[in-house]
Amino acid sequence: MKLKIRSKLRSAKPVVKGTVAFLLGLFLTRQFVGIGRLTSNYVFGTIAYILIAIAGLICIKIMQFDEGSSNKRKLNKKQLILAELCLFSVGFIITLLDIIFFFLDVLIILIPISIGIIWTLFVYYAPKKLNSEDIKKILLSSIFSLGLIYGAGLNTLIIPIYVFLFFSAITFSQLSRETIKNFIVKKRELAPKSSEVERPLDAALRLSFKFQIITIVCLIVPIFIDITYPILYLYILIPTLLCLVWACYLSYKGMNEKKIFKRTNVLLKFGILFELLAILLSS
Amino acid sequence: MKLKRLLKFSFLFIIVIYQQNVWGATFEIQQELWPYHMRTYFNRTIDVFEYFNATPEYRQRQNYYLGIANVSDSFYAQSAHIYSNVSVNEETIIENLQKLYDYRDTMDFRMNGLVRMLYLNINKTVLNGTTKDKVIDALGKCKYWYTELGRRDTAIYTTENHQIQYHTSEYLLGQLFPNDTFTNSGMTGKQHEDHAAPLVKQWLDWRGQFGFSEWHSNTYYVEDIGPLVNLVDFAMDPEIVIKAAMVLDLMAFDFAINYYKNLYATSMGRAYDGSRVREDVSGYASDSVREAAWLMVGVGDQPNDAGDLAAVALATSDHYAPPPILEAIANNASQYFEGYERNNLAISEGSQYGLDYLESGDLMYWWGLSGQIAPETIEQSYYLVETYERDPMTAFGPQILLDFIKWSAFFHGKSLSAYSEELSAISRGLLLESADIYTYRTPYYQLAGAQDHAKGLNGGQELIWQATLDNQAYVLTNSPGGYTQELDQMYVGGWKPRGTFYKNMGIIQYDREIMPFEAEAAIFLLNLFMGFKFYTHAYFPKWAFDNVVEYNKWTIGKKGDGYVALYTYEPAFWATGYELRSWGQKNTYIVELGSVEEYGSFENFVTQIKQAQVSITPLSLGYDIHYTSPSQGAVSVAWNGPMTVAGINVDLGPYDRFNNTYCNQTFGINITDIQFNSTRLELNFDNCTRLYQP
Repeated sequence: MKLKIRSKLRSAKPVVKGTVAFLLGLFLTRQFVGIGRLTSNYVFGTIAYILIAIAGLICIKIMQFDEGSSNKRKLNKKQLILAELCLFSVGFIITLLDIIFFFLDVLIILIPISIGIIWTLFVYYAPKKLNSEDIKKILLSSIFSLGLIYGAGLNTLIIPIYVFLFFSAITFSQLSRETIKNFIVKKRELAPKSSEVERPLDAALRLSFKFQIITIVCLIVPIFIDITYPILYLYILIPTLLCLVWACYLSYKGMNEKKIFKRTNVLLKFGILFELLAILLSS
Repeated sequence: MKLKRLLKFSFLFIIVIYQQNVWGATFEIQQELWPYHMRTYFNRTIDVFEYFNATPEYRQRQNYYLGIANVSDSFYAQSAHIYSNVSVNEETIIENLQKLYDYRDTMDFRMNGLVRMLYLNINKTVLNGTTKDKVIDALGKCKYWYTELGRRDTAIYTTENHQIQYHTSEYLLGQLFPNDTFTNSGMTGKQHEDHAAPLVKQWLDWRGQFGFSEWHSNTYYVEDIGPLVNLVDFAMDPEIVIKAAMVLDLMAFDFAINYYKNLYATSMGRAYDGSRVREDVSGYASDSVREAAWLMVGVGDQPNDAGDLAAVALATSDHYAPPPILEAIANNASQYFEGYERNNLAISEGSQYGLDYLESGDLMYWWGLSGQIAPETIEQSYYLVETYERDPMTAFGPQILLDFIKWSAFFHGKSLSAYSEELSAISRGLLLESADIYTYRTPYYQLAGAQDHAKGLNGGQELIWQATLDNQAYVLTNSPGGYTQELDQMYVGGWKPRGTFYKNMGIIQYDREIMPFEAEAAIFLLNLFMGFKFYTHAYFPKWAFDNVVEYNKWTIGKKGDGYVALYTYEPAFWATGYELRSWGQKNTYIVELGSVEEYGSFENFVTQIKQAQVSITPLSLGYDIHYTSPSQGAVSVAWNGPMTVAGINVDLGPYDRFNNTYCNQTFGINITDIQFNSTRLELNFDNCTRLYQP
């Protein structure tokens, strides 16, 4: 029972991270609104995004659903789809009501619509081009990072360029971590999970390395753009970059050791944490 | 509730411990009495009554007040005892000396009371040898300006009222003991006199040219009047005498045009909850200036006891009386009046008027405006505090705040000035700069407010607006959370609205921009420890009205033949019998006043208000408001931009110094020309002439 609850909580982590990113996004663009608007956005926007993020998680479950399984599971898939639709709709309606009652820009509704369209298209059409494991990683990363865009967009549709850079940094850092996470061995031998198609190890490391490089670039560029507190941002950017550069090095070295993945994963974990702190302090 | 108190106590305890660790105070008191040789002869040739005599009514009020002061045991009333050759309460006098010995804040208020006693006692023996020696001892060992090093103090020298208190004391005591050496400073009396004289003149000139930093303060005008009367009565410098008299005239004019039904019913730069909030009919709230205002121009209730320096000084003054025109205006203005008035420079206007921001120059003008941490002044403020080893509590607040600002600026990689600009919601919010006051009065009501003043910024103690039917039935709104007096003032200070007023109606919007993360976190913590203040509210004492009707978002009150209606956009609830509260820091209020003369009856007023169309659209900042006033027609205003009434833009400022039926004075000009019924009073600070033409 305890394990079940733990695993459920662990599976909800992307939602928590996405909500944090949402709150961060609201904070990054707070200069465009007053305390009244910001408060209502914090309250209603958070509820809406949590629901949308959970709907995103369910998308992943739907996508990973095995069609060749028993009847019992087919029923579960329908229920999953229904749950996903309901949650997304409620989140969408909350956003709509927020817009109506608090006189937000009506175009803000495009944000949840876009998220919904992107995720739906991904889930139903991406399997033709990508393997399910890659789609899962992209979706998980997007649940996290799209929170930033959602939050920023609630305050203003004229989202500053550095918000998009931060969004990219979060996406690619998370993708980088997701790419190698499955290779981390806890107590058993290095092996991919049984039912999943995985990249070869060196290909995964190469991909993770590319994502890390993109992340680093996306974090450095804002210093030269008009973020509010570049010095404060720089203080935390330094440990962030240290973690990321070290992770890059390990990935590039590509040693086929189980330790490498664990170390890289830990570095990326801390890198993402510092990244969020740096983003917070930048504004 | 207990937890709240515990949290508040813990928070204050931490602040105090931090403060003590940095500023542990030590006090040393010399036991020997201060040796002195008091001057007892002053050959003054200045005739303050060159052009007029005091009115008989004024003399009557003086005599009345003198009568009640002579039987009062209060400290300040002892001056009246001496004046009237009535024995003093020596115990009261002696126990008030301790503040001077301890160098504690507000010792200057006592100083001016003691100075007056000494001067009035010249060639008298009312104040006997021992008590007199002790008084002089305390004064001789005291400290008169922050530039005096030596023993540490906890005195605030630099608000507008404290400045004149200290300068006056220093000047007059220097005059009284010219050859004696004051213990703390090591300066002789003559040196103190020479040091203080230009500071006194500078303060007087600033008032004459720019008005009062603590505009219309019902608390601190009292602290200005006392020393000013002392200067008129005892200063030997004719320029100081005449200018002090002129500044007193300006204050009397202030009372004459702003008092309404025995209440100083106007916007104020500094006020306290205690002067406005009454929980019920048995509660007490009053203007500290009431005694002085009554004496000067006969407004307000006749006092029953004598307690403050200002009124006692006026009552015992042989050299100051307001020119008769001012009392005549007070009587006339109580009926119908519409006035525009401006007090204070904007900090950006310093160079335009020849003021700098240096400690060696005009920094004290800006400190008088509570401009210690404004971007233009913060560097010099820190310099002052560090150079003169000032306890920052006497300048900014606790040491922890000083360090917080300094280190935050450092970590942001910004200068103090640049970081102060980041915190402009507070650093500029505290500034009492450029207040444009609009007042509209009929025999039934008065509406007064600071037009479009520092909207969205965080203020200390401002009372932005007030709608008054009488001295109990009045309405005001506020968004609490001001950086003032233990952070527990709920109806003054706080987040300032965009207040826009026209004749009998006003629209007051509350909202604000978001500050840097650490400032928001600090405000959040302050609110957490010192009481949750995430709301706006209205003071609407139901007990004070004859009838109160609630309809939709309107609360409508009647007192006598005057009516007031208050609209609250956000959902509101009665937190108490006088507080109408709405959660959140964003809200819009509409106030409309009426009378039997305009509507015939309260019922008709209510009907008209119910039918009034109100359309309010929240914007990302503030609101867009369209209101069809039953009396004024279509009114439109938003967070930015003009206010229009019936299609015409309302003048929201900046105003002239005075623009009303009695006086038209361009702001920044040093001549005030007041006219009424063919009488004229000209206060010319350039020529130092106080001309009265009956």
